[in-house]
Amino acid sequence: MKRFLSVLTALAMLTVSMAGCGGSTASSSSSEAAGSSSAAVVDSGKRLSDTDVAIDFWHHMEGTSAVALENTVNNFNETVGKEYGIVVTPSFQGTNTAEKLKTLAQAEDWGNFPDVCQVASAGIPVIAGYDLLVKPEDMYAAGENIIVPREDILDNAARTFTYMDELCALPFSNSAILLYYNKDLFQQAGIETPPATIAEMVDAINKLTVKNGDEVETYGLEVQVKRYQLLNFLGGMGEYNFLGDNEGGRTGLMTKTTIGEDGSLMKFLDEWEKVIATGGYKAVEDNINEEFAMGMTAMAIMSSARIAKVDELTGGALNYGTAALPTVSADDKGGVAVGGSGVVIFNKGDELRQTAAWIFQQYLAGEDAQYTFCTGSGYIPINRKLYESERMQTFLAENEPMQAAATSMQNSNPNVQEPFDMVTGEIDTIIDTEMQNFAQGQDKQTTHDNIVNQINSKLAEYVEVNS
Amino acid sequence: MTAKTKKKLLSFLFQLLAIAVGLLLIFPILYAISLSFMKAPEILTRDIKLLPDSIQWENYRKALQITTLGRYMINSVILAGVSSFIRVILASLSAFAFAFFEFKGKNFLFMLCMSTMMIPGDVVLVTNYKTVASLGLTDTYLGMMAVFLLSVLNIFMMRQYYLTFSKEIYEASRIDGCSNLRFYSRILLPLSKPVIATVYISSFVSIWNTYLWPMLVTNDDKLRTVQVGITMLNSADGSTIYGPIMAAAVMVLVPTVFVFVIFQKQIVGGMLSGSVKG
Repeated sequence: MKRFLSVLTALAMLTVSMAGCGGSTASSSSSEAAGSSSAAVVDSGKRLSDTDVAIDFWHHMEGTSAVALENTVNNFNETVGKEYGIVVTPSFQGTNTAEKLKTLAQAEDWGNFPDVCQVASAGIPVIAGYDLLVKPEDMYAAGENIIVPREDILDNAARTFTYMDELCALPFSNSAILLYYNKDLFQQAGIETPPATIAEMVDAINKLTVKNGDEVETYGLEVQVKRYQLLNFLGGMGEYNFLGDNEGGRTGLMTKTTIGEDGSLMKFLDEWEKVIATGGYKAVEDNINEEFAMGMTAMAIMSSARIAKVDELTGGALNYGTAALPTVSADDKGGVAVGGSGVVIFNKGDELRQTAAWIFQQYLAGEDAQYTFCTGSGYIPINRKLYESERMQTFLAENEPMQAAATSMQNSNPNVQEPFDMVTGEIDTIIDTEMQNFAQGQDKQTTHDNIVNQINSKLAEYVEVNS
Repeated sequence: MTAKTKKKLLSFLFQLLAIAVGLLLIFPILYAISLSFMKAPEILTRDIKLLPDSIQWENYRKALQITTLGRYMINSVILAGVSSFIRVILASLSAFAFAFFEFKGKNFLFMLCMSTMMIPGDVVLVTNYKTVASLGLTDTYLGMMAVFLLSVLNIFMMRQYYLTFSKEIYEASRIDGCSNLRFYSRILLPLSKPVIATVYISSFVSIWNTYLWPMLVTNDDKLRTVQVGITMLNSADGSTIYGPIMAAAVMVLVPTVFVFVIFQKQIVGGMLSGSVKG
């Protein structure tokens, strides 16, 4: 028993000491920060202070994208960071940083907010409501410490992070939806070019699908139509198409969807019905990357961010190409919405840290960071000047699938955007469920009405509670 | 067929079924181990491939290189080990009171404790965070442990075990002048090893597998746990590296399997104890 009690005591002491260790970690970083803020402004050069200014950077990158991000941050610390006396510490905060920020905001724990945070574009309206947010719109207006001019950022990428006509974040890790196609299977089927419209895609599916009796051995197309896919099909219709009122929630709260009243949803369903009728369409994504990489599907519709994944899975052995997302009708010109994440900065009451955060935020949207990160991860650069540079042109020439991604993003109308629909998760579930039912035989009108009515119902609930 | 032969045959069939179910349950783990030794092209084939062509440790090296998995394992061991230890102490003390003491409102208090099991953890997430943050415990091990230090289920398990304990021994020791604390520490705890092992191991495994709370309450990468480490290897949009993920999963599994194998006999004993009130 004595031994038991001594072990117990030892473990209790360990607990206390470990708690102490953790505490000291936090306090040391805050004291470091305090040190930086109290330091005098620099005498010479670009340094912000005579001691380094330490800032935190929260991100949600995983896998090889996280490695590319770490390299980008290290490059900053070694170059621009050294020049300005800024040290950035990146830390992974789960797959949804906006949710973590929301929890901190609900708990009014503003002190634990980071200096810089990577957030998905859907989180922008909520983050725009935080008093701590420092908008690039205001920073550019102030005109201080500009290292990446606003004009360098692609218009549609900037608009992705614009809410109520104010730029709230700078784009960083961005992507566009693409059609991936297996060149060998296309050649075998005698198809020369990837389909440009859904009607052409229907013809291609018919030629590409391989059946053994009733069993499909190779599907012509795989895509699970959820919110992300539908908004891209509908958003690019005509010159551009807002999917909800108030420009899809960008100039005010989105209170209803307009895809029913403007006829765009029905027009899409008319075409999609023909895709389903081919019998070579796989409506459920089990492992879309792997299935495409293994030649089990001839075409797949997915984000350009997956190019690196397909390459890694096949070791570069798959002969595939990418093309712009097929349009609903031949005269659609809008293009696709910019997906992905941007970077926001917060003012925690320390001017030096805010300035450091602003410089780092711009760096991430700049030529060097975009080149390092995008070539290492598969995301598409959003910096206009980078596309003019020789290194980027060489990279694109050597990486054919990335060309369509870059072209698709650059050619898209800035008004084609993901809506700020506030109940994103619920809308995603509604569209997913109804499109699955449609693929399994539910009639077109019911699918249409269910999608429109259910989305409007969820939006009305949100408006009632939050407006 | 004689009754004896029939019984033997039934026993044989039952054992065969048990082995089949056992293999079915352990298959994903064995397959994960096998995948962790495969090269990327071996993993992604249309044909079924259960075993690697050769044993190679590259995936393990990559897993340790991409994330600081070693550090994360230390964090998880501290979090799960210490929290479970404190859980055992608090649960055994509470159970001792509920099982041996007689006081007004005892049953009401016990039912009140039990009723908290019906509150989902997600509901109190923000409130718990607010409490921990206001105590200045974010980015500390103590903050990570705070919500794991007490489990009503563990109190219930230990109380049920103590109810099987002879009241006469307690009364006799009281008559001999033994204090409650002395009885608890010298007599009750040493005789409760099976249930202590059960509570400790079940608690260790559940805390070891926790993701959300440690992620929420810490901001520093150095304080991440193994579950976060595995997530960091995965990516929905970026490249998923199956080999290193499986290697990391196998490494993460080792401590829990190790602890489980050592204490499994006591766990079974602990689970059964208290099931029949004597």
